Amino acid sequence: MRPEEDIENFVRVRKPRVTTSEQMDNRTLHDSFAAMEQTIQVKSTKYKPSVLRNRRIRLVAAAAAAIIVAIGLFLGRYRHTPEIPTTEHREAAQSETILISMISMRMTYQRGGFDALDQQFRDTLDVLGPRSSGASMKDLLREINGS
Amino acid sequence: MKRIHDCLTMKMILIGLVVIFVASPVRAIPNDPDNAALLYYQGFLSLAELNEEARDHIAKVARGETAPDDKVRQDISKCKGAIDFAEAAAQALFCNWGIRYSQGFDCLLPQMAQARYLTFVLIADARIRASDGDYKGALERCLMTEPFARHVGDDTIISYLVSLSVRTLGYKCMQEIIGRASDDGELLKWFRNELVTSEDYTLSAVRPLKIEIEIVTDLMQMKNIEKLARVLADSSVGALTGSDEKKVREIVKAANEKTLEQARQIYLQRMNSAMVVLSTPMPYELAYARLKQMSDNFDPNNPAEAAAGAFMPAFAKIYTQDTMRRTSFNAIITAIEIYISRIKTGKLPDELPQNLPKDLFSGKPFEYKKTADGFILRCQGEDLSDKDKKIYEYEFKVKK
Repeated sequence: MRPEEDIENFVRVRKPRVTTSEQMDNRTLHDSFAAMEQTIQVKSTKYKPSVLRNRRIRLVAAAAAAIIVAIGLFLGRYRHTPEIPTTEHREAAQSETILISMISMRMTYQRGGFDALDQQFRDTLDVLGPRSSGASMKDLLREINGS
Repeated sequence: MKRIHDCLTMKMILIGLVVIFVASPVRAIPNDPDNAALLYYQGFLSLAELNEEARDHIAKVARGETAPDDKVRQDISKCKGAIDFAEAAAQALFCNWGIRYSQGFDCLLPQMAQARYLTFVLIADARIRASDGDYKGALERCLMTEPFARHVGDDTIISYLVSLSVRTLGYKCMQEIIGRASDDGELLKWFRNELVTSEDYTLSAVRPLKIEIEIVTDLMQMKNIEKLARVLADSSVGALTGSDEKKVREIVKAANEKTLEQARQIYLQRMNSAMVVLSTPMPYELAYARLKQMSDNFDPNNPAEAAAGAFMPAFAKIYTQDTMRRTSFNAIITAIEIYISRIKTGKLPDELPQNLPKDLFSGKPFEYKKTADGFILRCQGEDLSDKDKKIYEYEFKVKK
Protein backbone atom coordinates (compact mmCIF):
# COMPACT_ATOMS: atom_id res chain seq x y z
CA MET A 1 0.00 0.00 0.00
CA ARG A 2 1.23 3.46 -0.78
CA PRO A 3 1.93 5.97 2.11
CA GLU A 4 -1.01 8.24 1.23
CA GLU A 5 -3.34 5.21 1.28
CA ASP A 6 -1.89 4.20 4.70
CA ILE A 7 -2.78 7.59 6.06
CA GLU A 8 -6.27 7.48 4.57
CA ASN A 9 -6.79 4.02 6.10
CA PHE A 10 -5.48 5.17 9.42
CA VAL A 11 -7.81 8.15 9.49
CA ARG A 12 -10.83 6.12 8.40
CA VAL A 13 -10.31 3.03 10.65
CA ARG A 14 -8.60 4.32 13.78
CA LYS A 15 -10.36 7.68 13.89
CA PRO A 16 -7.44 9.30 15.85
CA ARG A 17 -8.02 11.66 18.70
CA VAL A 18 -5.12 14.12 18.84
CA THR A 19 -4.78 17.02 21.23
CA THR A 20 -3.01 19.91 19.54
CA SER A 21 -0.66 22.42 21.11
CA GLU A 22 1.70 25.23 19.95
CA GLN A 23 4.70 22.90 20.19
CA MET A 24 3.01 20.27 18.18
CA ASP A 25 1.94 22.75 15.50
CA ASN A 26 5.53 23.96 15.17
CA ARG A 27 6.85 20.41 14.92
CA THR A 28 4.21 19.51 12.31
CA LEU A 29 5.09 22.57 10.29
CA HIS A 30 8.81 21.83 10.52
CA ASP A 31 8.27 18.19 9.48
CA SER A 32 6.10 19.28 6.57
CA PHE A 33 8.73 21.67 5.25
CA ALA A 34 11.42 19.01 5.62
CA ALA A 35 9.26 16.47 3.74
CA MET A 36 8.48 18.97 1.01
CA GLU A 37 12.13 19.83 0.52
CA GLN A 38 13.00 16.15 0.28
CA THR A 39 10.23 15.54 -2.23
CA ILE A 40 11.42 18.39 -4.44
CA GLN A 41 14.97 17.07 -4.45
CA VAL A 42 13.79 13.54 -5.32
CA LYS A 43 11.49 14.83 -8.11
CA SER A 44 14.25 16.98 -9.64
CA THR A 45 16.49 13.93 -10.01
CA LYS A 46 13.66 11.66 -11.08
CA TYR A 47 12.30 13.95 -13.90
CA LYS A 48 15.52 15.21 -15.45
CA PRO A 49 14.83 13.85 -19.00
CA SER A 50 11.37 15.44 -18.87
CA VAL A 51 12.96 18.85 -18.26
CA LEU A 52 15.20 18.32 -21.26
CA ARG A 53 12.16 17.46 -23.41
CA ASN A 54 10.38 20.63 -22.23
CA ARG A 55 13.35 22.64 -23.33
CA ARG A 56 13.17 21.14 -26.80
CA ILE A 57 9.48 21.85 -26.94
CA ARG A 58 10.11 25.40 -25.79
CA LEU A 59 12.77 25.84 -28.45
CA VAL A 60 10.50 24.49 -31.18
CA ALA A 61 7.64 26.66 -29.94
CA ALA A 62 9.87 29.74 -29.86
CA ALA A 63 11.11 29.07 -33.39
CA ALA A 64 7.55 28.55 -34.64
CA ALA A 65 6.41 31.76 -32.98
CA ALA A 66 9.30 33.64 -34.53
CA ILE A 67 8.40 32.25 -37.98
CA ILE A 68 4.70 33.11 -37.51
CA VAL A 69 5.55 36.65 -36.41
CA ALA A 70 7.93 37.03 -39.38
CA ILE A 71 5.30 35.77 -41.86
CA GLY A 72 2.69 37.98 -40.22
CA LEU A 73 4.91 41.03 -40.54
CA PHE A 74 5.78 40.13 -44.16
CA LEU A 75 2.15 39.66 -45.18
CA GLY A 76 1.02 42.64 -43.15
CA ARG A 77 3.38 44.84 -45.10
CA TYR A 78 1.65 43.92 -48.38
CA ARG A 79 -1.87 43.50 -47.10
CA HIS A 80 -1.97 46.73 -45.23
CA THR A 81 -2.86 48.92 -48.24
CA PRO A 82 -5.94 47.14 -49.61
CA GLU A 83 -7.39 46.55 -46.15
CA ILE A 84 -7.52 50.24 -45.40
CA PRO A 85 -8.75 52.06 -48.53
CA THR A 86 -6.90 55.26 -49.18
CA THR A 87 -8.58 58.45 -50.33
CA GLU A 88 -7.45 57.67 -53.88
CA HIS A 89 -9.15 54.27 -53.78
CA ARG A 90 -12.34 55.74 -52.44
CA GLU A 91 -12.34 58.47 -55.05
CA ALA A 92 -11.71 55.95 -57.84
CA ALA A 93 -14.56 53.73 -56.63
CA GLN A 94 -16.81 56.77 -56.43
CA SER A 95 -15.97 57.92 -59.96
CA GLU A 96 -16.56 54.37 -61.30
CA THR A 97 -19.99 54.41 -59.69
CA ILE A 98 -20.73 57.87 -61.07
CA LEU A 99 -19.86 56.68 -64.58
CA ILE A 100 -22.62 54.08 -64.54
CA SER A 101 -25.30 55.99 -62.64
CA MET A 102 -28.45 56.94 -64.47
CA ILE A 103 -28.17 60.60 -63.52
CA SER A 104 -24.66 61.01 -64.89
CA MET A 105 -25.55 59.26 -68.17
CA ARG A 106 -28.61 61.46 -68.49
CA MET A 107 -26.62 64.64 -67.90
CA THR A 108 -23.94 63.53 -70.33
CA TYR A 109 -26.56 63.04 -73.03
CA GLN A 110 -28.20 66.38 -72.26
CA ARG A 111 -24.88 68.14 -72.65
CA GLY A 112 -23.21 66.32 -75.51
CA GLY A 113 -25.78 64.08 -77.19
CA PHE A 114 -25.23 60.43 -78.00
CA ASP A 115 -21.56 60.87 -78.97
CA ALA A 116 -20.76 62.08 -75.46
CA LEU A 117 -22.76 59.22 -73.98
CA ASP A 118 -20.88 56.79 -76.20
CA GLN A 119 -17.60 58.18 -74.90
CA GLN A 120 -18.82 57.62 -71.35
CA PHE A 121 -19.61 54.00 -72.22
CA ARG A 122 -16.06 53.62 -73.56
CA ASP A 123 -14.67 55.10 -70.34
CA THR A 124 -16.83 52.71 -68.35
CA LEU A 125 -15.39 49.73 -70.21
CA ASP A 126 -11.88 51.08 -69.56
CA VAL A 127 -12.57 51.21 -65.85
CA LEU A 128 -14.81 48.20 -65.35
CA GLY A 129 -14.22 46.11 -68.47
CA PRO A 130 -16.05 42.91 -69.26
CA ARG A 131 -15.34 40.47 -66.45
CA SER A 132 -14.33 37.54 -68.60
CA SER A 133 -13.62 34.27 -66.86
CA GLY A 134 -12.00 33.12 -70.07
CA ALA A 135 -12.93 29.56 -69.21
CA SER A 136 -15.62 27.35 -70.66
CA MET A 137 -17.37 24.63 -68.68
CA LYS A 138 -15.24 22.13 -70.59
CA ASP A 139 -12.02 23.90 -69.57
CA LEU A 140 -13.12 24.06 -65.95
CA LEU A 141 -13.99 20.35 -65.87
CA ARG A 142 -10.67 19.52 -67.52
CA GLU A 143 -8.89 21.51 -64.83
CA ILE A 144 -10.83 19.85 -62.03
CA ASN A 145 -10.36 16.36 -63.42
CA GLY A 146 -6.72 17.07 -64.09
CA SER A 147 -6.76 15.58 -67.56
CA MET B 1 -58.49 -12.42 -82.32
CA LYS B 2 -57.18 -12.57 -78.76
CA ARG B 3 -53.60 -12.09 -80.06
CA ILE B 4 -54.63 -8.97 -81.95
CA HIS B 5 -56.32 -7.66 -78.81
CA ASP B 6 -53.20 -8.33 -76.70
CA CYS B 7 -51.01 -6.64 -79.27
CA LEU B 8 -53.26 -3.55 -79.26
CA THR B 9 -53.20 -3.46 -75.46
CA MET B 10 -49.41 -3.63 -75.45
CA LYS B 11 -49.24 -0.78 -77.96
CA MET B 12 -51.61 1.35 -75.88
CA ILE B 13 -49.52 0.71 -72.78
CA LEU B 14 -46.33 1.66 -74.60
CA ILE B 15 -47.86 4.86 -75.99
CA GLY B 16 -49.16 5.68 -72.53
CA LEU B 17 -45.70 5.23 -71.03
CA VAL B 18 -44.12 7.45 -73.68
CA VAL B 19 -46.75 10.16 -73.09
CA ILE B 20 -46.23 9.98 -69.32
CA PHE B 21 -42.45 10.26 -69.78
CA VAL B 22 -42.67 13.21 -72.15
CA ALA B 23 -45.31 15.05 -70.13
CA SER B 24 -43.64 14.33 -66.81
CA PRO B 25 -43.01 17.56 -64.91
CA VAL B 26 -39.80 16.16 -63.40
CA ARG B 27 -37.16 16.52 -66.10
CA ALA B 28 -33.53 15.71 -65.65
CA ILE B 29 -32.31 18.90 -67.36
CA PRO B 30 -33.81 22.19 -66.17
CA ASN B 31 -34.99 24.66 -68.80
CA ASP B 32 -32.78 27.47 -70.10
CA PRO B 33 -33.57 30.92 -68.67
CA ASP B 34 -36.64 32.59 -70.16
CA ASN B 35 -35.39 36.03 -69.11
CA ALA B 36 -33.17 37.29 -71.93
CA ALA B 37 -31.27 39.61 -69.56
CA LEU B 38 -29.76 36.62 -67.74
CA LEU B 39 -28.34 35.40 -71.03
CA TYR B 40 -27.09 38.85 -72.01
CA TYR B 41 -25.37 39.26 -68.65
CA GLN B 42 -23.56 35.97 -69.26
CA GLY B 43 -22.76 37.22 -72.75
CA PHE B 44 -21.25 40.40 -71.29
CA LEU B 45 -19.09 38.28 -68.99
CA SER B 46 -17.92 36.29 -71.99
CA LEU B 47 -16.91 39.31 -74.06
CA ALA B 48 -13.20 39.33 -74.72
CA GLU B 49 -11.28 41.57 -72.33
CA LEU B 50 -9.66 43.78 -74.93
CA ASN B 51 -7.80 47.04 -74.52
CA GLU B 52 -9.24 50.35 -75.64
CA GLU B 53 -7.43 50.25 -78.98
CA ALA B 54 -8.79 46.81 -79.85
CA ARG B 55 -12.33 47.77 -78.81
CA ASP B 56 -12.14 50.95 -80.87
CA HIS B 57 -10.96 48.91 -83.82
CA ILE B 58 -14.00 46.63 -83.49
CA ALA B 59 -16.24 49.73 -83.32
CA LYS B 60 -14.64 51.15 -86.47
CA VAL B 61 -15.18 47.89 -88.35
CA ALA B 62 -18.79 47.79 -87.11
CA ARG B 63 -19.38 51.34 -88.35
CA GLY B 64 -17.84 50.46 -91.70
CA GLU B 65 -15.01 52.95 -91.27
CA THR B 66 -12.42 50.24 -91.85
CA ALA B 67 -12.47 46.80 -93.46
CA PRO B 68 -12.21 43.67 -91.29
CA ASP B 69 -8.59 42.58 -90.87
CA ASP B 70 -6.90 39.61 -89.18
CA LYS B 71 -6.76 41.41 -85.84
CA VAL B 72 -10.49 42.05 -85.71
CA ARG B 73 -11.22 38.50 -86.86
CA GLN B 74 -9.07 37.20 -84.00
CA ASP B 75 -10.72 39.49 -81.45
CA ILE B 76 -14.23 38.66 -82.62
CA SER B 77 -13.44 34.94 -82.44
CA LYS B 78 -12.60 35.51 -78.77
CA CYS B 79 -16.14 36.87 -78.33
CA LYS B 80 -17.80 33.74 -79.72
CA GLY B 81 -19.21 32.81 -76.31
CA ALA B 82 -20.82 36.24 -76.02
CA ILE B 83 -22.33 35.97 -79.51
CA ASP B 84 -23.74 32.52 -78.65
CA PHE B 85 -25.40 33.96 -75.54
CA ALA B 86 -26.84 36.85 -77.60
CA GLU B 87 -28.23 34.36 -80.14
CA ALA B 88 -29.91 32.40 -77.35
CA ALA B 89 -31.22 35.61 -75.76
CA ALA B 90 -32.72 36.71 -79.08
CA GLN B 91 -35.14 33.77 -78.81
CA ALA B 92 -36.41 34.82 -75.38
CA LEU B 93 -39.66 36.74 -75.33
CA PHE B 94 -39.13 38.88 -72.28
CA CYS B 95 -36.23 40.70 -70.75
CA ASN B 96 -35.91 42.07 -67.22
CA TRP B 97 -32.57 43.72 -66.46
CA GLY B 98 -33.35 44.02 -62.77
CA ILE B 99 -33.02 47.79 -62.64
CA ARG B 100 -33.28 49.14 -59.09
CA TYR B 101 -35.87 51.85 -59.65
CA SER B 102 -36.04 52.37 -55.87
CA GLN B 103 -32.68 54.14 -56.15
CA GLY B 104 -34.17 56.81 -58.40
CA PHE B 105 -31.59 58.67 -60.46
CA ASP B 106 -28.81 57.06 -58.41
CA CYS B 107 -29.59 53.64 -59.83
CA LEU B 108 -26.66 52.09 -61.67
CA LEU B 109 -26.89 50.88 -65.26
CA PRO B 110 -23.61 49.03 -65.84
CA GLN B 111 -25.23 46.92 -68.55
CA MET B 112 -25.56 49.88 -70.94
CA ALA B 113 -21.84 50.17 -71.73
CA GLN B 114 -21.67 46.39 -72.15
CA ALA B 115 -24.72 46.39 -74.43
CA ARG B 116 -23.05 48.97 -76.62
CA TYR B 117 -19.87 46.86 -76.78
CA LEU B 118 -21.87 43.73 -77.64
CA THR B 119 -23.60 45.67 -80.45
CA PHE B 120 -20.23 46.51 -82.01
CA VAL B 121 -19.17 42.87 -81.69
CA LEU B 122 -22.35 41.61 -83.40
CA ILE B 123 -22.12 44.11 -86.25
CA ALA B 124 -18.37 43.59 -86.71
CA ASP B 125 -19.13 39.87 -86.98
CA ALA B 126 -21.76 40.65 -89.64
CA ARG B 127 -19.17 42.63 -91.60
CA ILE B 128 -16.65 39.79 -91.35
CA ARG B 129 -19.27 37.38 -92.71
CA ALA B 130 -20.06 39.78 -95.55
CA SER B 131 -16.40 40.18 -96.45
CA ASP B 132 -16.20 36.37 -96.62
CA GLY B 133 -19.09 36.37 -99.10
CA ASP B 134 -21.64 35.00 -96.62
CA TYR B 135 -24.28 37.68 -97.23
CA LYS B 136 -27.18 35.74 -95.78
CA GLY B 137 -25.22 35.03 -92.60
CA ALA B 138 -24.24 38.69 -92.40
CA LEU B 139 -27.84 39.86 -92.82
CA GLU B 140 -29.01 37.35 -90.23
CA ARG B 141 -26.49 38.80 -87.81
CA CYS B 142 -27.79 42.33 -88.60
CA LEU B 143 -31.35 41.15 -87.98
CA MET B 144 -30.26 40.08 -84.51
CA THR B 145 -30.08 43.76 -83.61
CA GLU B 146 -33.88 43.90 -83.62
CA PRO B 147 -34.52 41.53 -80.69
CA PHE B 148 -31.43 42.92 -78.98
CA ALA B 149 -32.70 46.50 -79.31
CA ARG B 150 -36.13 45.42 -78.10
CA HIS B 151 -34.54 43.71 -75.11
CA VAL B 152 -32.32 46.68 -74.26
CA GLY B 153 -35.74 48.23 -73.98
CA ASP B 154 -37.25 51.47 -72.80
CA ASP B 155 -37.06 51.05 -69.04
CA THR B 156 -35.11 54.31 -68.78
CA ILE B 157 -34.34 57.09 -71.24
CA ILE B 158 -30.76 55.81 -71.43
CA SER B 159 -32.00 52.29 -72.26
CA TYR B 160 -34.23 53.76 -74.95
CA LEU B 161 -31.35 55.75 -76.49
CA VAL B 162 -29.04 52.73 -76.48
CA SER B 163 -31.82 50.66 -78.02
CA LEU B 164 -32.20 53.22 -80.82
CA SER B 165 -28.46 53.25 -81.43
CA VAL B 166 -28.34 49.43 -81.64
CA ARG B 167 -30.98 49.47 -84.35
CA THR B 168 -29.42 52.40 -86.26
CA LEU B 169 -26.02 50.69 -86.35
CA GLY B 170 -27.72 47.54 -87.65
CA TYR B 171 -29.32 49.51 -90.51
CA LYS B 172 -25.99 51.08 -91.44
CA CYS B 173 -24.48 47.63 -91.85
CA MET B 174 -27.52 46.32 -93.79
CA GLN B 175 -27.18 49.28 -96.17
CA GLU B 176 -23.74 48.09 -97.25
CA ILE B 177 -24.47 44.36 -97.34
CA ILE B 178 -27.58 44.57 -99.52
CA GLY B 179 -25.48 46.45 -102.07
CA ARG B 180 -23.04 43.54 -102.26
CA ALA B 181 -25.93 41.09 -102.60
CA SER B 182 -27.86 43.34 -105.00
CA ASP B 183 -27.97 40.72 -107.79
CA ASP B 184 -29.51 38.03 -105.58
CA GLY B 185 -33.27 38.55 -105.92
CA GLU B 186 -34.21 35.62 -103.69
CA LEU B 187 -31.97 36.81 -100.89
CA LEU B 188 -33.29 40.36 -101.18
CA LYS B 189 -36.93 39.19 -101.05
CA TRP B 190 -36.22 36.97 -98.08
CA PHE B 191 -34.45 39.83 -96.32
CA ARG B 192 -37.23 42.35 -97.07
CA ASN B 193 -39.80 40.02 -95.49
CA GLU B 194 -37.61 39.36 -92.46
CA LEU B 195 -36.92 43.07 -92.01
CA VAL B 196 -40.55 44.12 -92.27
CA THR B 197 -41.55 41.40 -89.80
CA SER B 198 -38.75 42.33 -87.41
CA GLU B 199 -39.63 46.03 -87.50
CA ASP B 200 -42.31 45.51 -84.89
CA TYR B 201 -40.60 48.13 -82.81
CA THR B 202 -43.00 48.92 -80.02
CA LEU B 203 -40.56 50.82 -77.84
CA SER B 204 -41.25 54.50 -77.26
CA ALA B 205 -39.94 57.41 -75.26
CA VAL B 206 -43.27 57.69 -73.45
CA ARG B 207 -42.73 54.76 -71.08
CA PRO B 208 -39.39 55.97 -69.67
CA LEU B 209 -40.87 59.47 -69.32
CA LYS B 210 -43.71 58.08 -67.20
CA ILE B 211 -41.17 56.32 -64.98
CA GLU B 212 -39.14 59.54 -64.71
CA ILE B 213 -42.23 61.46 -63.61
CA GLU B 214 -42.59 59.07 -60.66
CA ILE B 215 -38.92 59.43 -59.73
CA VAL B 216 -38.79 63.22 -60.04
CA THR B 217 -42.07 64.02 -58.28
CA ASP B 218 -40.92 61.86 -55.37
CA LEU B 219 -37.56 63.59 -55.32
CA MET B 220 -39.15 67.08 -55.32
CA GLN B 221 -40.34 66.73 -51.73
CA MET B 222 -38.95 68.39 -48.62
CA LYS B 223 -38.17 64.97 -47.13
CA ASN B 224 -35.72 64.41 -50.00
CA ILE B 225 -34.33 67.94 -50.13
CA GLU B 226 -30.69 66.88 -49.50
CA LYS B 227 -30.78 64.44 -52.40
CA LEU B 228 -32.63 66.90 -54.65
CA ALA B 229 -30.15 69.67 -53.84
CA ARG B 230 -27.26 67.40 -54.72
CA VAL B 231 -28.77 66.52 -58.11
CA LEU B 232 -29.52 70.20 -58.82
CA ALA B 233 -26.00 71.23 -57.82
CA ASP B 234 -24.52 68.44 -59.95
CA SER B 235 -26.65 69.38 -62.95
CA SER B 236 -25.27 72.91 -62.89
CA VAL B 237 -21.61 71.84 -62.80
CA GLY B 238 -21.68 68.38 -64.39
CA ALA B 239 -22.18 65.14 -62.49
CA LEU B 240 -18.71 63.81 -63.16
CA THR B 241 -17.00 66.73 -61.47
CA GLY B 242 -18.78 66.08 -58.17
CA SER B 243 -21.07 68.16 -56.01
CA ASP B 244 -20.36 71.70 -55.02
CA GLU B 245 -21.06 71.50 -51.28
CA LYS B 246 -21.58 75.23 -50.97
CA LYS B 247 -24.22 75.18 -53.69
CA VAL B 248 -25.93 72.16 -52.10
CA ARG B 249 -26.15 74.05 -48.77
CA GLU B 250 -27.57 77.13 -50.51
CA ILE B 251 -30.29 75.10 -52.25
CA VAL B 252 -31.24 73.30 -49.03
CA LYS B 253 -31.44 76.62 -47.17
CA ALA B 254 -33.58 78.30 -49.84
CA ALA B 255 -35.96 75.36 -50.41
CA ASN B 256 -39.49 75.31 -49.06
CA GLU B 257 -42.64 73.32 -49.66
CA LYS B 258 -44.28 76.06 -51.74
CA THR B 259 -41.38 76.30 -54.21
CA LEU B 260 -41.22 72.54 -54.55
CA GLU B 261 -44.95 72.34 -55.18
CA GLN B 262 -44.59 74.92 -57.95
CA ALA B 263 -41.63 73.01 -59.41
CA ARG B 264 -43.67 69.80 -59.46
CA GLN B 265 -46.55 71.54 -61.23
CA ILE B 266 -44.30 73.04 -63.93
CA TYR B 267 -42.47 69.76 -64.40
CA LEU B 268 -45.67 67.69 -64.70
CA GLN B 269 -47.29 70.13 -67.11
CA ARG B 270 -44.29 70.09 -69.45
CA MET B 271 -43.75 66.33 -69.24
CA ASN B 272 -47.41 65.58 -69.97
CA SER B 273 -47.41 67.94 -72.96
CA ALA B 274 -44.25 66.31 -74.30
CA MET B 275 -45.78 62.85 -73.98
CA VAL B 276 -48.81 64.00 -75.98
CA VAL B 277 -46.53 65.26 -78.79
CA LEU B 278 -44.44 62.08 -78.74
CA SER B 279 -47.47 59.82 -79.03
CA THR B 280 -49.27 61.88 -81.70
CA PRO B 281 -48.24 61.47 -85.35
CA MET B 282 -47.17 64.86 -86.71
CA PRO B 283 -44.51 66.26 -89.07
CA TYR B 284 -40.96 66.14 -87.70
CA GLU B 285 -40.47 69.88 -87.94
CA LEU B 286 -43.62 70.67 -85.96
CA ALA B 287 -42.99 68.01 -83.31
CA TYR B 288 -39.38 69.15 -82.96
CA ALA B 289 -40.39 72.79 -82.44
CA ARG B 290 -42.97 71.90 -79.80
CA LEU B 291 -40.64 69.54 -77.96
CA LYS B 292 -37.86 72.08 -77.99
CA GLN B 293 -40.21 74.63 -76.47
CA MET B 294 -41.05 72.21 -73.67
CA SER B 295 -37.51 71.37 -72.70
CA ASP B 296 -36.19 74.94 -72.97
CA ASN B 297 -37.29 78.40 -71.79
CA PHE B 298 -36.94 78.01 -68.05
CA ASP B 299 -36.18 81.12 -66.04
CA PRO B 300 -32.92 80.35 -64.17
CA ASN B 301 -33.73 83.05 -61.62
CA ASN B 302 -37.01 81.43 -60.66
CA PRO B 303 -36.13 78.57 -58.26
CA ALA B 304 -39.22 76.51 -59.14
CA GLU B 305 -38.63 76.81 -62.88
CA ALA B 306 -34.89 76.15 -62.50
CA ALA B 307 -35.63 72.99 -60.50
CA ALA B 308 -38.17 71.74 -63.06
CA GLY B 309 -35.87 72.58 -65.95
CA ALA B 310 -32.99 70.58 -64.49
CA PHE B 311 -35.00 67.37 -64.86
CA MET B 312 -36.43 68.05 -68.30
CA PRO B 313 -35.12 65.48 -70.80
CA ALA B 314 -33.81 66.62 -74.19
CA PHE B 315 -37.10 65.65 -75.85
CA ALA B 316 -36.27 67.10 -79.25
CA LYS B 317 -32.91 65.36 -79.45
CA ILE B 318 -34.44 62.02 -78.43
CA TYR B 319 -37.24 62.47 -80.96
CA THR B 320 -34.69 63.23 -83.69
CA GLN B 321 -32.78 60.05 -82.90
CA ASP B 322 -35.98 58.01 -83.30
CA THR B 323 -36.81 59.85 -86.55
CA MET B 324 -33.36 58.96 -87.83
CA ARG B 325 -33.88 55.28 -86.96
CA ARG B 326 -37.23 55.14 -88.74
CA THR B 327 -35.89 57.03 -91.75
CA SER B 328 -32.95 54.59 -92.05
CA PHE B 329 -35.42 51.70 -92.07
CA ASN B 330 -37.45 53.39 -94.81
CA ALA B 331 -34.30 53.97 -96.86
CA ILE B 332 -33.36 50.26 -96.65
CA ILE B 333 -36.84 49.15 -97.76
CA THR B 334 -36.76 51.67 -100.62
CA ALA B 335 -33.32 50.47 -101.72
CA ILE B 336 -34.43 46.81 -101.72
CA GLU B 337 -37.33 47.73 -104.03
CA ILE B 338 -34.92 49.55 -106.35
CA TYR B 339 -32.56 46.53 -106.41
CA ILE B 340 -35.46 44.16 -107.15
CA SER B 341 -36.64 46.46 -109.96
CA ARG B 342 -33.09 46.43 -111.37
CA ILE B 343 -33.01 42.60 -111.33
CA LYS B 344 -36.35 42.56 -113.21
CA THR B 345 -35.49 45.23 -115.81
CA GLY B 346 -31.73 44.84 -115.99
CA LYS B 347 -31.10 48.49 -115.06
CA LEU B 348 -31.66 50.94 -112.24
CA PRO B 349 -34.97 52.80 -112.55
CA ASP B 350 -34.72 56.37 -113.77
CA GLU B 351 -37.20 57.54 -111.17
CA LEU B 352 -38.13 56.39 -107.72
CA PRO B 353 -40.97 53.83 -107.85
CA GLN B 354 -44.30 54.96 -106.37
CA ASN B 355 -45.70 54.17 -102.91
CA LEU B 356 -42.41 53.64 -101.17
CA PRO B 357 -41.70 54.65 -97.57
CA LYS B 358 -40.73 58.29 -97.04
CA ASP B 359 -38.02 60.39 -95.52
CA LEU B 360 -39.50 61.18 -92.11
CA PHE B 361 -37.53 64.39 -91.64
CA SER B 362 -39.59 65.99 -94.41
CA GLY B 363 -42.52 63.61 -94.77
CA LYS B 364 -41.70 63.48 -98.50
CA PRO B 365 -40.24 60.70 -100.70
CA PHE B 366 -36.46 60.40 -100.71
CA GLU B 367 -34.62 62.25 -103.43
CA TYR B 368 -33.28 59.58 -105.74
CA LYS B 369 -30.06 60.07 -107.62
CA LYS B 370 -28.14 57.52 -109.70
CA THR B 371 -24.36 57.48 -109.28
CA ALA B 372 -21.47 55.78 -111.08
CA ASP B 373 -21.59 52.74 -108.80
CA GLY B 374 -25.16 52.75 -107.54
CA PHE B 375 -27.61 55.33 -106.20
CA ILE B 376 -28.22 57.72 -103.35
CA LEU B 377 -31.39 58.27 -101.35
CA ARG B 378 -31.34 61.76 -99.90
CA CYS B 379 -33.60 63.19 -97.22
CA GLN B 380 -35.42 66.40 -98.02
CA GLY B 381 -35.65 67.56 -94.42
CA GLU B 382 -32.88 68.67 -92.08
CA ASP B 383 -31.82 67.21 -88.76
CA LEU B 384 -32.89 70.17 -86.62
CA SER B 385 -30.94 68.94 -83.59
CA ASP B 386 -27.67 69.17 -85.52
CA LYS B 387 -25.89 72.50 -85.26
CA ASP B 388 -25.10 72.39 -89.00
CA LYS B 389 -28.66 71.27 -89.86
CA LYS B 390 -27.38 68.14 -91.50
CA ILE B 391 -29.31 66.49 -94.32
CA TYR B 392 -28.87 62.72 -94.33
CA GLU B 393 -28.21 60.73 -97.45
CA TYR B 394 -27.94 56.98 -97.86
CA GLU B 395 -25.53 55.64 -100.43
CA PHE B 396 -26.22 52.24 -101.96
CA LYS B 397 -23.85 50.44 -104.27
CA VAL B 398 -24.75 48.02 -107.02
CA LYS B 399 -22.89 44.79 -107.67
CA LYS B 400 -21.47 45.02 -111.17
